[in-house]
Formats: sequence, structure tokens, C-alpha cells
Amino acid sequence: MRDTELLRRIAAGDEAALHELLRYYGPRIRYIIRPFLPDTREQEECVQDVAMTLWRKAGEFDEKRASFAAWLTVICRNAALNRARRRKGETPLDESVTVPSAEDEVLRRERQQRLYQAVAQLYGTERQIFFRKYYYGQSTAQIAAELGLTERGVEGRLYRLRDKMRRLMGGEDG
Amino acid sequence: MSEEKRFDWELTEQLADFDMTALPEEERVDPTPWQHLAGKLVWGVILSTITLNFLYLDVILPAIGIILLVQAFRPLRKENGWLGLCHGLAWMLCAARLCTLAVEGTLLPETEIFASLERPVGLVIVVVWLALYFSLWRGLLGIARRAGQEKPSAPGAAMLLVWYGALTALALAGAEQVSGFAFFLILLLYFLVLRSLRKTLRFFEENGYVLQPLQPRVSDGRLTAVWLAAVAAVIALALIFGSRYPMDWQVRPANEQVGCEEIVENLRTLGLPEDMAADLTSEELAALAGAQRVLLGVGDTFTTDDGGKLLCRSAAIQLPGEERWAVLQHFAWVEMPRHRGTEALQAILLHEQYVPNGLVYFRADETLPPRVRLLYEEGEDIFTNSPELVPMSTTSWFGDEYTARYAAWSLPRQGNRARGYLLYGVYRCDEVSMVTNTDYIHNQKAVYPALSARQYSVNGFWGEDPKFRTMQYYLDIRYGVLQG
Repeated sequence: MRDTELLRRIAAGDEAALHELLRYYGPRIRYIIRPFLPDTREQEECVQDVAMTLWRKAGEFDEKRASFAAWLTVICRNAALNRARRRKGETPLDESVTVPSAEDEVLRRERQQRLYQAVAQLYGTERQIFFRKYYYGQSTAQIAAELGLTERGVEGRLYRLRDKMRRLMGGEDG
Repeated sequence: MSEEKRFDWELTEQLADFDMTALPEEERVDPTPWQHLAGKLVWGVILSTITLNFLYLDVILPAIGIILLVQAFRPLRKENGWLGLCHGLAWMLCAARLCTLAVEGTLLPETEIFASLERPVGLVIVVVWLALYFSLWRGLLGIARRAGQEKPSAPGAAMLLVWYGALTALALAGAEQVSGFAFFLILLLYFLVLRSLRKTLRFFEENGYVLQPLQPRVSDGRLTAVWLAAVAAVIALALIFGSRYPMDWQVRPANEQVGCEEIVENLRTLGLPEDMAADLTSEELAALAGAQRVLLGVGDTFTTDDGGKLLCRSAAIQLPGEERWAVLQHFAWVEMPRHRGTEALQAILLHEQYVPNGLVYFRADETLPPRVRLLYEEGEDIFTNSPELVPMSTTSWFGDEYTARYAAWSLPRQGNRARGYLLYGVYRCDEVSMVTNTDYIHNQKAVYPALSARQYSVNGFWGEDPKFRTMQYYLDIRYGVLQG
């Protein structure tokens, strides 16, 4: 309720509301972007990116679809991933300048569909490891510490996870 | 780029525009450690608290619950002193749980000293739980403060502390059993407490308080496996070594009946089976000297689920003097049972039966006090033991008070032809039948928590527990026979 109210005020142009939101969620924002951006200066710049996105998209938040924390997580993760890509000279999300051919797009969508179907068959710790590694970009050490596993244990599980994903996705992406 | 790294890169690429918010809430994966820790903490509290008395869930669930609490506090132990204390206390409760499980696998709780210790030890454990919940509350307050909460609070943990404290107070006030409305009220409050605890933890999850979980040297999974193995081992060892009575078997002297041949022959002539007479001591035979009549009750053979066959026989032996009788109730394992746990004999002696209106049918013969003697054979030797025959006042279903005598023992792990008897003397004071029943209770399967055959009989379970076999046999000498 408090988040929705703050977002409504942000959408109405209330800067204080944005500061309030950032103050409350600051630790979470930094937590999500840290694995993508080890450099603290870059992290702070990314926090500003997140703030800008919140300022622009506050009115788009739909609380029926997801909680604010979940929505914010996606914004932070995308912002951090974009920065990381720019740093590596890759194309950021939603900023692709070359338009893929219709055939490429169909293939990409097919591959993605297979991935999503494979992901739907992951449960428990396996699912946690998968998303932490490939979606949130967390290191093996971080995953191990947060899930109560040893690093070797995580590596072993990742090895089996890759095999499983190859199998579930039809083997051609391996 | 190695194939593995390329596959990792491809997965990352394909997930780049994956929309986590499109998933149902329960399928989303949160990147912070709180979701994982909260699950362990809440389930740890739930499983440690609930008691389900079937399928050994009262043993398994609390054991899992306490190790989940250890796993929840393990990565938090350096976060602040209070959470470090939680971690220590959780391990302490683990140790206490292991000790409790071990003791419950033995017959120690049936001893007086342990019965007297049960309450104080239980209180200490309750205090440790209270200390754990107090520390949890203080620890979460500390985190809330560091997370920048204007008015630091951890209502879920506070409610858990109050709820547990209130339950303890109720138990101390004697309200250990609640039923009906009160039960559902407690259940509802418990649910609210857990919801509040989850909500408190969700604050940290959403806020993303930067927790630095410690890298575990042993994974949670391995810790759980080792713990459950320790629990299983402790229970198994307790059952193997602690669920039997220590028995001081003595070799029966070969010449025990020397000089009593005449008495034995007389008893045999009067109709007492030879093997029953052969088990008696010289003192007992001396007390039976000059026997005038032997009246046999109806013998019976019982089988047990563990392959045993028990022959039970009774005899009333009339001795010199006016209506002076010796009662001999003999039992013998014709085929030894496989399970060697505990055995018990529950007897209601003729002179200790309930008789209405102050009448006296039988009086004790002080020259032949009641005793139980056990024998078994191993190789060439015969071993004997005389367990105590303990009187215990009890009340029948009809409200009549009477005294039952109990003897309890364990059969030897080796050996065969285990047998024994109850012998005592009475004076028959009235023209009445000699009718009484004796229960032989055999523990035919391992039982956890350990329960002796004697305690099973004392508890007076309704219906037969398949782990025990109660074999009831009678001394039934009717008035007409006695007059004949």
C-alpha cells in the first residue's frame, strides 16, 4: 500500500517520494546490481539508472501483476545487465539497432520457448541455483553461502543442471 | 571459449529478457538470501513445535525442525551477537534432543530417579527455547535497526516469544491437555504468529538488507544427513543396549535339590508335573514337604508373533495344616521367542483379591511368601534369577481397589528353555473356589519410545498393541473340586 502510494506520487512528479522509495529499497537495489557490476562507482551510476527508470515508469506499475519488490527486482537487474553489456561492448536490452530477420526472430523465439519450458521443469534448489546463476548473475560463492551449500556442491549441481537443460531443450544448444 | 562457458553465455543471453514478474508469485526466485532463510526458520519453528503421534512423526519432525533452525541461524551467526546466541542455543537444543531421543529408547524413564528428573529437565529445555526466541527477537531488532527502520521492530519474533511463553505458563499451570475451542484458539493464534514471523522476515527480503551469509564448510544437505544418521544411530543403540533390563543370572547349583528327592517324588505322585517340581529350590521344596493333594488348573499354550510358544500351567498344592495351600503358577517357553525385549508377570494373589463387605477368603501364609524365579539353559548350565515381585495398588473397571503384583525381566539373548514360576502360600479361610488369573506379558517387537512389558500392563491399554502379547492364564480350582 505504501509502495503504491509512493509510486502514485512519483508518477505525479513528487521527487521526495522517489527519495523515500530509494531510501527504503536502497539495500535491495544495490544487492541485485552488485553481481553484475563489481565496481562501486558503476554500482552508484546504476542506482541512478534505476531511479530514472522508476521516475519514468512509476505510472506503469500494476500491483495485480506483481508485488513492487518483484517489479523493482526486474528493473534493477535489467539496468545492471545493460550497464554490464555496455561495458563489454555488447548490445544492451531494448536498444538493439539491427533489426533481426523474420527467420532469425522465429528461431530465437523457438529457442526461448524451449528454454522457458525447460525452466518450468526445475524445482527447489535446482531452480534457485539456475535463476541465481543465469538470471541474477550471482557467483558460485554467493550462491553457495546463501543456499547453505559448499562451492563444490554448487559447481556439481551446476554441472548436472547444464546436462539437464541441454536434454530438456533438445540438445542442439549445447 | 569452452563449450561449458558458451552454454552458460547462451543461457544468460536467452534469459536476458525473461520477465520474472510474469511467473506466478510462488514460482518467482528472489535474489536475496532471506527467502531461503525464512523458509528454514519458519519450518524449523513449525516442525519443532508440532507433535503428531503416528508413524514416528513425533520423533522425525522435531528432529528435522531443530536442524532446520541450526541451518537458519548458521549463516546469520556473525550478523549480530543475538543471532550468534541463537545459533549456539539451536545447537544446544540439538544436543538436548539427541539426549532425549537416546533416553527415550531406554527403560531409564521408568525408573524413579528419571521420573523425578523429567520435570526439571523439561523446564530447562523450555527455558532454552524461550532464550532462543528472545534472542531471535533481539537479533532481528538489530537487523531492522541496521536496515534503517525508523522504529526498529520485529513483531513476528516478539509474538512468537509471547506465544511460547504463554503456552509454557499454561503448561506450568497444569493445563497440559487442551481440547475443543481452546485447542482451535491456540492453533489459530499459532497460525497468526507464524504469518507475522513470515511477514517480519519479508520486510528484510524486500528491503534487501545486505546480509553476508557465511560460507558453510558443510552443506545444509550434508548436515541434515549427518544429523538424521546420528538420530537413527542413537535410537538404534538405545534400543539395542537400553531397552532391556540388566539381569544378574546365576548358575544354578547342580546339587540344588539334593536331599529333597522324597518331597519331589511325593509331589510327582500327587500329580504335579515333573518338570514343574524340578525347577523348585530346596527351600521351596522343604516348604512343600508333606503335601497332601495337588490340584491342577487347565494349562494353556500361547503363541507369539515372534515365533515363541509359551506353556502356562497352574497348580494348587494342599499342605499339612488346616486349609493350607501353596499356589504354583508356572510358565515355560517351549519355543523361544525371537525378540528378547522385556517380559512381565502380573498376578493377583488369592489373598490380595478384592473381596466385598470386609470378608476374608484367603490369608497369606508367611512361611511361604510370594516369589518369582526364572530359569534358562545354556549348554550344560542352568541359570536362575529371582526378580522382585512388586505390589501395586490399582483400581478395576468397576472401581474396586485391589493389589496386583508385578515382576519384570528380560530373557537372555542366548540360551533356551527359558521358564519360571510364581509360588506363594495361603490359608483358605472360607468355603470358596480358588480362582485367580495371571498375565504373562511379552514384548514381541521393538518399541520406540521404549516401553517395558510391565509398563504396558500398568498403563492398561485398551485393545492389544501388536508390539505386546498378553497371555492370561488361570488358577481355577472350583469349590466342588476342593470339597471332593
